Amino acid sequence: MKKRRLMLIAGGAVVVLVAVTCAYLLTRPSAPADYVSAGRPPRIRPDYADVLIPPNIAPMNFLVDEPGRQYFVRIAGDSGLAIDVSSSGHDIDIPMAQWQKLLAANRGGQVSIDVYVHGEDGRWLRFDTITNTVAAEDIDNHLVYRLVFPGIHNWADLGIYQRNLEAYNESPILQSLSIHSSCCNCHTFQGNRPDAMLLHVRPGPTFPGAGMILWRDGQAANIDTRTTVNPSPVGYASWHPGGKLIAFSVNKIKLFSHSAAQDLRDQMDYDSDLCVYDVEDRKLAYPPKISLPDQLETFPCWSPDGQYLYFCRAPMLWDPRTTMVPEDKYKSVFYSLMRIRYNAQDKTWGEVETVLAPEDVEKRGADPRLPRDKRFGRSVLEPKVSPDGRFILLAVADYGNVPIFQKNSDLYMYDLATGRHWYLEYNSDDCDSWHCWSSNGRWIVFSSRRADGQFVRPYFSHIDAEGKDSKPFILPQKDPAFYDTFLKTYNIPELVTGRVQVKQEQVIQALLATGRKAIPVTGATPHEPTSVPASP
Amino acid sequence: MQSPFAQKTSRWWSVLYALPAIVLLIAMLVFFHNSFDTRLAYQHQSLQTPLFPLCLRDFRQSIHGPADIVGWVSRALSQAYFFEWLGPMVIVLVIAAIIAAVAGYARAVACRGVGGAWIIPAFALMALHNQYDYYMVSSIGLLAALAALNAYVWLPLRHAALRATAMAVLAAGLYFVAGPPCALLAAGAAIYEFFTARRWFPGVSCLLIPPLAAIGVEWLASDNCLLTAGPATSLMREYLTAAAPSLFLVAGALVYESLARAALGRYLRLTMIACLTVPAAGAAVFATAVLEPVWRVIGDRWTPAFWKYANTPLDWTLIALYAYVVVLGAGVGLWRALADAIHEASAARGKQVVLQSLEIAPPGAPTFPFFRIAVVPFLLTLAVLGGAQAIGPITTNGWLKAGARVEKLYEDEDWDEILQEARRTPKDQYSFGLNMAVNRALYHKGRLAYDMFSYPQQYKMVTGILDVPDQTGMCALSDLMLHLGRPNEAEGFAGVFDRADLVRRLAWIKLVKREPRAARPYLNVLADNVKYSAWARELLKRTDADPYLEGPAEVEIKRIRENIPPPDRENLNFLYVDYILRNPRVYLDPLRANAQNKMAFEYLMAFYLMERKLERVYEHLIDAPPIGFEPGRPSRLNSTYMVDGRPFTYPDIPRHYEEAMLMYEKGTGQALRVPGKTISPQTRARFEAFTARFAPYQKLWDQKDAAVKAANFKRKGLKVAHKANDTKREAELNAAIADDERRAAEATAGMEALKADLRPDFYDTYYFYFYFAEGGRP
Repeated sequence: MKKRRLMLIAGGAVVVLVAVTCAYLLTRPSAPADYVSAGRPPRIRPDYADVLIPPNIAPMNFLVDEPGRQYFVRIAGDSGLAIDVSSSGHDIDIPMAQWQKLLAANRGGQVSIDVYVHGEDGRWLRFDTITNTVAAEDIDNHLVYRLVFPGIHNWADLGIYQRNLEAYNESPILQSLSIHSSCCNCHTFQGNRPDAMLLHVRPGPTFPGAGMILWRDGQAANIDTRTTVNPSPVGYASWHPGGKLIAFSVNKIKLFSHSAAQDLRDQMDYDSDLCVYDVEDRKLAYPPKISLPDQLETFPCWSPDGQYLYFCRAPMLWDPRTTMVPEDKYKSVFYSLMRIRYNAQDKTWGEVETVLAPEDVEKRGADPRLPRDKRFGRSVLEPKVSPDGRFILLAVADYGNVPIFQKNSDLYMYDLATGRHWYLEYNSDDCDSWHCWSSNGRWIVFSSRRADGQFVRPYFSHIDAEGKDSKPFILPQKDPAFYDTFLKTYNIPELVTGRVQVKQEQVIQALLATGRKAIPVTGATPHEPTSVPASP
Repeated sequence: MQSPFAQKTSRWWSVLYALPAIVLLIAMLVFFHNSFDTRLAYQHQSLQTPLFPLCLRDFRQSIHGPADIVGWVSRALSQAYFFEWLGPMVIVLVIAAIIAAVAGYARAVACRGVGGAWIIPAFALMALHNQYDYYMVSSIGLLAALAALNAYVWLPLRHAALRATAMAVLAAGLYFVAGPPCALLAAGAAIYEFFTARRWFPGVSCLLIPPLAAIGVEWLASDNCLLTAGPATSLMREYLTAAAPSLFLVAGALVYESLARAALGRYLRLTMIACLTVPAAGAAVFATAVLEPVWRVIGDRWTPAFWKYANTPLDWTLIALYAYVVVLGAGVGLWRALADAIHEASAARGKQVVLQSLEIAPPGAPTFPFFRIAVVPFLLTLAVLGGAQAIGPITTNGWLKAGARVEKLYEDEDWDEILQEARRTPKDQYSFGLNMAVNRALYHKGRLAYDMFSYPQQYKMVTGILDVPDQTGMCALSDLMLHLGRPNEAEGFAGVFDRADLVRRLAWIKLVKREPRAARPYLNVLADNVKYSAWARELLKRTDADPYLEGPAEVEIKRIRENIPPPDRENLNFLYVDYILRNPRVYLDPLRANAQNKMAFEYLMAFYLMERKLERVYEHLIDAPPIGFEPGRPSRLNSTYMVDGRPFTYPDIPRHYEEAMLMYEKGTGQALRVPGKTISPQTRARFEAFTARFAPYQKLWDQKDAAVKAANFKRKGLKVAHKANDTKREAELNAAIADDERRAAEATAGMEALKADLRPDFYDTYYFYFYFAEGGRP
């Protein structure tokens, strides 16, 4: 009796298995044999046509913006198995495993996308093939960014997150909801290493913890960098490649708004200086040559060999004690790209040199018939030196130091070998700014408002050996319509080579750690090297 | 041991069980419809919580880890609040499910009905909802836990290993769905196994498996499963704080039961109340511990101190609700266990009296006497009908309800009702939002220049960047800026929160600014929002056809755009509420852009009145073409904003402007004249009456001022005397200072008395506001 029952169960299982297999084979999508040609490429969203993609990127799901009842997409390369996707809706969801195999098989080659749409008239329409190129070089597999609502004071639900670029997993590093809606910002990594990071938390009305969190060697420490010289916390940062020094800017900022301009928000530095923090000695120094009282210094960036510190500098056009926005002067502030040599052996600084002056940067769309002083003059900002030390990627704005708030901000490349600079080919009409190199120097990620003029999204572009950029593509999402309804912007996208292992609880515990003290430094901007201990 | 699922109820009148339940549900429905307005709760809660699009896409994007499902389902169900009848129905159905689950569990544990005990959660939930800021997530979390608990106790499996497996599946599923309320499953199931089923291994497994299952779920839910057991356990901290007390609870109940069994030989009189004492104490601890993680689900994810939350009646009611389930289970479970023991003892010793004292039916007696299963619940249900009316006033959070009502009235632009509501609102509950709403209402009723000081005016209370007022205030502020012709400031204030009402404004502002691409994400999200779906879909269609909305049918957007100053009039602002409201250019620039911008004119005048800038008020009266006097008269302002078009007019000089003119006349001593118009005799007579009665005030003020100055002067002398160690002089000066302070206090008291005397007759006048910085009905 028992044996018979077992036989029956086994038989039933076999029947079900066969039925499922048959159903799969019968319903497996296949390319329509009978179709008419549309004679044009399909409209797809996001725009993943004619792009150069990393071989390790997650499936680039997209929507077919063509009317129809049924959609069929074949993605194929010279090598490997083609991927067939059939959908009754506009969205094309590419299977992860097949995509990864296809890209791996076509590394350095091309993949084509053929789109067929079954129209209301009952005929299949085939669109022209989209051809994308698969780069030979991988992109760093994680992206760290801050998600925040675009409103000025909307800090209630922001956070620093990391995203696996080879898949779709996103996980929080620190969410403001965990720290009573305090503001967290300015995550920075040593090179592209995920095991050395710092971020800042501003004091909130109800959360007692604040400061700079230094995550290194699996430990999170809270460093209080406020001094009597500069009571503001430090801002933009750059790690020395040796990992023992971090250059910071200390910015006295003011947020304001425009009453009539298209860009609502704006920001300026009333004053700013650069300082250097010694991670091991826990000392903060204000080298006088890069913290001049009549100059605004910001955006530090070490060269990969650690011999130069690049930064931006502009003359201060107002009394630093001012509290009102100098309406007549703030648009006259143009930053230059500067550098200073640093000797890590004896910890000495060389002389400051100008690398790229504002008057050498041509205004976008300037009439060539205009005299030079009218055609040239833009603010050079956010220098990021490529890992091979050859190029500097820059953001250039019409004025001031916050390109993200200016519609006309663009990315420029500066070639250190030739001294030449140029406007990236694929800049958009909207703001393109905050950028980051991948560890192999072949990919960049940058922030752009090009999608809708409002929300900042991360875009990736390939940079070849000559510094030429490829058509950028937006961060792929599992849901291809994701950006249609996502109301947060991506701030400060940073590429890292692996998952950041720090947990929120570690950060919170470090923030709440007691014993923090202000650093006893006196004087405004010191004219002699000042080195003071920073409290742990 | 009789299994709960072996119970049989065959008597025909057992259907009466359903009758009180139906009556109760109808009573609750009526209560939630009439006394508790779910639409107000929707308005309030939608302003407090992020925008919620009701669609599967949002569901997919929202589910990341434990408790996300309960959170999403709760938010989805809460959308029903927007509808007049659907909201109450959803609430009542959830409550019905909870009380059914409570009754099912209690019946399983007690092996019999438990009378009207199942009604209690209904009362608690009615009281909770009536607070208006009770969020559905707590109910759904409780319901999920109770559902799992019932599934476990009614499971027709006896084998210990199978029951443990079932518990693992249920606990893991429940933890993923609802998170921390999983502790309720552990405690409730353990109570059932220990007391009712008398199965020790399953009982222990009920206590051990849920924490392990929860750790497993956390581990699996974490990204890439890179977590080791250590960090996963640390993530479970909140859960364990709930699980630990449940262990104590069950252990305590077991000890109690043992003691009671030992005492049986002496035939102690045990009552239900006595049985409930120990579990009640343990359950209170348990429930409070459960509450804290539940609150984490709602929003605040960090603070470990649960008692921080338990400081309002709402919190304690919620605690009581969670505790009740455990108390009931443990109580009836103990009772059942003791009853069994007593049956054995009584059978052996013939002590029927013990059974009688405990009201426990002897073996063979009818399990469900008519009175207990039908009449008692029915009477209790009838009590609900009467009690519902009592619960309303007792448990309603009146302040919140009034605020929600203003929010809704403002969104509905029901200006008359706003003014009525403002008259009913006590001064100390007058919010920034209500103030803004009242002024908008007065403007739209054409009464701003006549009646604004009949209401409290307090916008100056907002002073800092983070001093963000209530969200109605932000909505009203954003609207004011947009209609004045300041879309950037409107956008700045609307962008403070990601709430549906504000997102709707952002979409509209972007369209006003001719940025249809930027408006689209907002409209896409709103298209799936219950409240704004139709509005957003309509606008998406319109922008598809006319991206910049410049067609002849776009009257409203055209009117707003006409008020926007040209780009060359750009000025910089700090987006602080106080800074914006007190910047005259905010009103002047739009007025210069469009001389017919009546709102800009009236708010500019209101600003000057509140700032006590009488000269400016008068200048604008005699110069201002908007007011309709001598439109062709050349003036400083005429030359700038009187471009073309016919300005709006007033039939007379608005009352508050008249009052300001009278004050200006009094101050300067010169007669003021507005060509073509005169100040009304009534206003003049009233002002003269005020002046006559106000005269002593000035004298008292002078007295107070003199006394304070004298005291301050003497204090300086006191320091000198103290340094000189002149004690005699010190004593003299101290006495003199005390005398000055007494005189200052007397003068102050006199001033207060005079103010109180003037208030009933002049509270609605500008001069009362001018002198006393307050206004509005006493």
